Order: sequence, then C-alpha cells, then structure tokens
Amino acid sequence: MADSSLTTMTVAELGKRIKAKDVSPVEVAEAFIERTAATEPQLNAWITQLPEQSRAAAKQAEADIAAGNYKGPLHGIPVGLKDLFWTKGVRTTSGSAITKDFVPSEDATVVAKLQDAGAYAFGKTNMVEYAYGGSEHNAIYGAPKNPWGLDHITGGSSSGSGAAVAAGQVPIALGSDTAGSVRAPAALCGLTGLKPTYGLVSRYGVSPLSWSLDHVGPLAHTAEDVAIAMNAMVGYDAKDPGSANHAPEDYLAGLRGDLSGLRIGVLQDDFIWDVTVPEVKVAFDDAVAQISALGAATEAVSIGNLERLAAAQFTITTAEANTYHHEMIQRAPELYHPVIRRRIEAGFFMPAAAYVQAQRVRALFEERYASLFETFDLLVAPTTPSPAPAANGQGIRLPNGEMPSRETVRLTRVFNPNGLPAITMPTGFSEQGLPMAAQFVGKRFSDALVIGAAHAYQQATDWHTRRPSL
Amino acid sequence: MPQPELDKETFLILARQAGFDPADPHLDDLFPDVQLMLGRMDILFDSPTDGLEPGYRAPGSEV
Repeated sequence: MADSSLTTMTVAELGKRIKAKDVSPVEVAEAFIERTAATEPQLNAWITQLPEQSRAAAKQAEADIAAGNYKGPLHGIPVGLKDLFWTKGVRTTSGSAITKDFVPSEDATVVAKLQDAGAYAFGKTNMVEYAYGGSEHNAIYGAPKNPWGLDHITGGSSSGSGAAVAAGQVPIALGSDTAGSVRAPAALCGLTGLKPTYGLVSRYGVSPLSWSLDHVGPLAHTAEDVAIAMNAMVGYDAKDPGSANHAPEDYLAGLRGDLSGLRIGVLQDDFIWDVTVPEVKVAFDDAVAQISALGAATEAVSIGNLERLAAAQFTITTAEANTYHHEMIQRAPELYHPVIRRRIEAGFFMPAAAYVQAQRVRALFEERYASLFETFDLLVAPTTPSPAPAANGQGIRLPNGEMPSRETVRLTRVFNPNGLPAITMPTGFSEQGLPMAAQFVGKRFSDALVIGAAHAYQQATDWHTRRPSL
Repeated sequence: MPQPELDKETFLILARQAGFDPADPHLDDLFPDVQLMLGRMDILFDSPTDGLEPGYRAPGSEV
C-alpha cells in the first residue's frame, strides 16, 4: 500500500522530500498510480494512462539521484499532459476520433524540456475535442467530472488536467489556453493555473486550435509549483514561429511575501460584473481586501469595450480553427462532435473583412493595455463568472437568467488576443462547496511578477491548500 | 456598421460554394450557428479603428 499522503502534496513539497531522500521517486509514482486507480472510475480524467512507463521513469530517476545526478525540484515528479501534447511513441488524440491513433515520432518541445528537468509523463489527460470549447466534449472519451462536485463540469478545454490535479491523481499537469482553457478548469477545480506571455513557452508539437491565440501553461496547486514548472518550460524554440527570444528568468526568485509597492487595477467593467454571480463577487471583494492588506495600492479601473475584444478573440479563433481543420472536416465531418463540427464549419461563412477587422481591434487593445500598464503593475478580475455549472446541460445561473456554460471563458478570453500573462488562484468556496477564483494579469513578459503576486496572496490565504473529499 | 443579415437562400448559395450539398439536412442545424457567428462579429465594425492597421506586435515586444 502506497503512502496516500504523498498525493496531497505540492510539487515543491514532493521535490524537497525526494531531494532529501525522505521518499523515493518510485514511492511517489506508486502513490499517484494507486490514487488514480481508485478515483479514475468516478472522474474520467485520462485518455491514456501510463503506469508502466511511469514506474520505469521513476526507477530511472531514483537511480540517477542515488548516483548524485539530481536535476532539481521536478526530478522524479509525474506530470499529466493534455492529450494534444505530442509524446514520442504514445498516442496523442487531441480528444478526437479522427486522430485517435496518431502516435507522434517526437515529443513536443515543452514535454522534452520537462523531461530534461527530470519530470516524466504520467499519462495523457482528457480534453474537449481539439480544445475547441469551454464545456463541450467529444464523442468517444466523454467528459471528466469535477472532483469538488461530480455532477458539475470541470471547465475546459484542459478538463482532464484540471480534474486530475484537483483529485490528487497527479501533482501538476499541462494545458493549453486559447480563450481560457488553462485558467477556467484551474478555477473551477480549485487550482492555480497560468497562461504565460504568448511565445514564452514553445507550442511546437502542440496540436493547434488558433495559432495566434494558443498559449501553453501549467495547472498546479500553488503559484510556487507554477514557478517551478515555468523554470523548466520557458525558452526560445526556433521550431515555433511564435516563440519569443526572451532572456531566461528564475521564476522562483520572483516569489514574494507581500505586494508592497505594487499598483493593482481592480477591473470594474460591466462586461465582467453584469454576468458575475453574487457569491463570486463576495469572494472577489474579500480577495481584493486581502491584496490591499498585503501592501498593494488598489484602484478601481475599467478596460472599456471588452465586448469588442471578446468578439475579436472569437472571430480570430473561428477563422484560424477553420483553416486548420479545413481538409479534415471536409473529409470526415461525421467524426467530429456535433457542436464542435458546427463551430468549425461556421468558419467557412466568415467574411474575410471580419478576420481583418478583428486584427484591427486587437491592435486597438494593444494601445489600451499599454496605457493601463503605464499606471498599473497588475490588473485583477474574477476568473469565471460563477462556480462550476451543473453538468446536466443547464447553463450558468445568473440572478436575472441563464448564460450558456461555454461562457465560463468569458472573463479569460479577453486577455488572449494581446498575449498577456494571467494566473488564476482560488479565492474561496461557494455554498455548494465549489471553488471560486480570481486572476492577476500583467503586461507581456511580466510573468515572474504575475506568479509572484499569486504566491504572496497564497501566503496569506489557505484556499489553495484544500482538497476535495473523494 | 452591422453586416447585412444572412438569409437562408444566400446561405445555401454560399454553402454550395464551400463544398456542401445544399440538400444536406445538416445545413438546417448549421444555419443558426452561422447566423449567430455573424451576429457576434457585428460589434467589430462599430469599433474605432480608423488609422489602425490590422496586426499584432511580434512576440518578444514589450507592451
């Protein structure tokens, strides 16, 4: 019987124990394998599990560490990979029947980088088909359940990554974020999730949804774990046309105990608050009070006209996704989930002028964000308008009606077109016991500050330490 | 300025050009999605973008 307490630990805690040889990577692997076996029938978080490969990788890590070749805090740590990250010799389905047998001949750059740091692929997590949605799923793998409430959605599209980390099946996982697909499942599953600056983490070997909006990021329990992962994940990659040649940073060195000296804009836009449920607002207001108590100078501010930026994000995604799927969807439309199929096919009818105008709106908000970040170091907003909606097809319940559950990414998508780093962190729990969250947003390449601010908040709160009772 | 609303007849013409069979009943399901998509884009053309070129600064540029 494995030590189940290991599955509640953070990457940082596990790394310290492995380094001190209090626990071996093999014991860590066995604990997570056992936990996954016990909880997976309820959760459906994985498309492909790799217990034997995990055991072999853990054994190798144990031998390397015993030989004095310790690589750092990720050495011997299992990582869940959303099933659109290429893994050499392991099928990568993108959540689709079409690519259900695709076996890459190489690893995605970010997967290779994590392996270089000593981590290993624990398995491939479930996801919304082709990452195209916040709540819809796929015909063959079904939807993961939220560990905080099995009759609630996890959010998506990195749905399995959210469920798996929250349930203690794995301590950290990777996702991709085009409209909020890291931050929304992280928020709805009580986790910390980062969408880094566009181009900071390579997208090579990551099946695309929308080339100019896709970001790769981690989901973990804490901002400290996000920093550990980012130290391994970041780096210029000539194989990714969008890769940024940014000087390496130590994200762990950016962790801070308070927020003194920071100017933080608290977003007031009606676009956000017209659809945010009261208990999320209460938790958010408490979080802002805590942020102020940590020394930040907070001030109410509006970005303005966010509905335009949301429309631009939607338009760009529709056009780019249609282009990527152009040939496949004409060849085998029946193999797509009906909702995803229509979403992609709609792109055939988009006027070229709409795509171009969306790019002009994107440029318009470059100016607006640049202006805001002359005044503020960070912005803060709720991550999702509500806790996790019910999985019965009902939408998000608002005081004055209902909104489709795909709108769980309404408050996250407005930070994708301009490539801004954004991190979500838990800020409380609803009456139903479901997590709620807020996100810090910074200017491009302020990732260390964004992560550091979330860490400071987590030093003063304990929401991130809670685990679901599964 | 909002784009003119797409009627079913025009939609079917466009669908044929895009490679669909106009008699495919699936188009009845797709039409409302296309209308919704076009409706969501209207606001883009109301944006004050005079003088702005389309585009996005290259990765690596600091805001």
